[in-house]
Amino acid sequence: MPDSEINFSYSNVVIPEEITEEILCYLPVNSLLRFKCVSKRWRSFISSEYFTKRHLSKSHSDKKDNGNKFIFSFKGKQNSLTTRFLSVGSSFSLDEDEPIVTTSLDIQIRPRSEIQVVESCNGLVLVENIYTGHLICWNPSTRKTKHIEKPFGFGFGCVEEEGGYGFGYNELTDEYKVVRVRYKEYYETRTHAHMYSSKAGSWKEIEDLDKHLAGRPGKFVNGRPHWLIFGRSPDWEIVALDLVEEKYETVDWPVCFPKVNMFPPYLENTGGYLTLMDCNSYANAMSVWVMTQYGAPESWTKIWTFPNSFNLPIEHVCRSPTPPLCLKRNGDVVVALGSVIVAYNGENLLRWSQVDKFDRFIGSISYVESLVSPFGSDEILVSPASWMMTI
Amino acid sequence: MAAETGTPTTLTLKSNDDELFSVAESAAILSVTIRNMVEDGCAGGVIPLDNVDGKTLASVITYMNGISAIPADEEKKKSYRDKFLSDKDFETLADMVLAANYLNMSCLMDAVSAKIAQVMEKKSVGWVRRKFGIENDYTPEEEAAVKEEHKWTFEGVETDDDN
Repeated sequence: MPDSEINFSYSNVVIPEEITEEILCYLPVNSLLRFKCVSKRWRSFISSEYFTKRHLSKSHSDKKDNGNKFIFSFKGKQNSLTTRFLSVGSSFSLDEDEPIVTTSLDIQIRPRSEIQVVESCNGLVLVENIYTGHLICWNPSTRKTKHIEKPFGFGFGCVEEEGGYGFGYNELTDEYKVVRVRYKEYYETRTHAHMYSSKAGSWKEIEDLDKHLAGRPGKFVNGRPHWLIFGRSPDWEIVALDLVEEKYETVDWPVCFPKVNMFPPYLENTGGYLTLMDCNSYANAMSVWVMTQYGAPESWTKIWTFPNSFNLPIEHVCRSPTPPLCLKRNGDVVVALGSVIVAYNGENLLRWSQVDKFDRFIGSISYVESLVSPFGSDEILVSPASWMMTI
Repeated sequence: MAAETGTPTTLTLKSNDDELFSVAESAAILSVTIRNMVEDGCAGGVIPLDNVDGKTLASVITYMNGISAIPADEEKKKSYRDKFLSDKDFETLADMVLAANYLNMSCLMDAVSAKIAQVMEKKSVGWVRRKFGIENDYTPEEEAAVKEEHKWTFEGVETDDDN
């Protein structure tokens, strides 16, 4: 704590604040929020931007192993315009035979609506109201939200059909950016793009992307959102947007990636690694390619060919292509098959657990726990009960 | 391979309550503080460690010997650290984190900090105030307001047993 002169003491020993700070970096967000009650000094320290960043960088350095948490989203009961979220984690390790802990998350949103997760970055999760096209930046760990007005001229929006969002953080300017790429006309390949800056609090138009987007949300890896671009099959491309220069760049495609025939590959973010999934042989298996060293084309590695479904003693296991949620340092993969979470080492199923028996599964995404405030301190104030989205 | 050059160098460390400990130099230099003294040639006689008591120093030396006996295998080192810290109470851990900081042993410092955080994770606000010696400077109304803002974080908190 930089401006500190006070020392904490207990019995005869004095724990200086610089050591207390080290200890607090290891605490989960839930405990830190509770300990804001310890004293005014603890509250202002835990709330400070300085500590938020230190804590985040600690979470990032642990995240390749078990710092990841996962959000599973489910549709509400029939005819209900709600989405239910469950947080799972914070680890799914094989060393622990304990049952995995799930927490039901409330997101405050008006009007009640079905929402879908776009992408996560630094503990913030971008979700879209699929009926109104409104965006909500949400920190599931602190339960704070910020509503973002949609850019001018945007009508009914659906991520899957019209274009793709990107979400990312620009470290240089300490800004969060949301990018919306959308076709001007249905049959056109040119898109137009808008970018929202958390600092400006508004949208602006940026350079067009003269490519045909595969239409899925961009994946935020290494400080940039990445999109899969339809070229002339099999010439697919990955395009990244440099958030500083606001220029598009092509990322090298893995040389040995199988030729694309019927099913387009999936571009994914596996716990911080750019990932491509080949689904062409997906009757039997699905191969997963990871760029283990960002920017080095030769580092694209086929890490797994894993079966779409394991022989799990439960019904209704999701059989559609599913990206891994995270890749552990030892090479184990954690993947969600619908609401069943599985750890796999490439040969054997190591562990599995059913997160929820709720069958209207929408999707899953991984995030790190953080204290990061959704786009600055400018959160909307929400009154309780009526805006809560619980079932 | 060169032949062993007799007995390995041993250092003598002195705690602030005047206990003397012998430890192999190869283990002791895990502490950057001690390593600097050795490199500066100040380690000839007894090395006084004014900020560490005998009980804590004994424990730190056990750790130094244990961890330096493990070859370069981060997984094994991690599991040794976990086991070494597993049965320590808060007061012992607090002494140890101060010693690790003074001796400049980053691996021990990180491990003990993480362990203290693990001990604290589900504790009450009152427990933290007592253990860290912090005075509550909120008015009851202010405290209630802060608590209300983060109400859900008070679910599942352990009842205080002060262990």
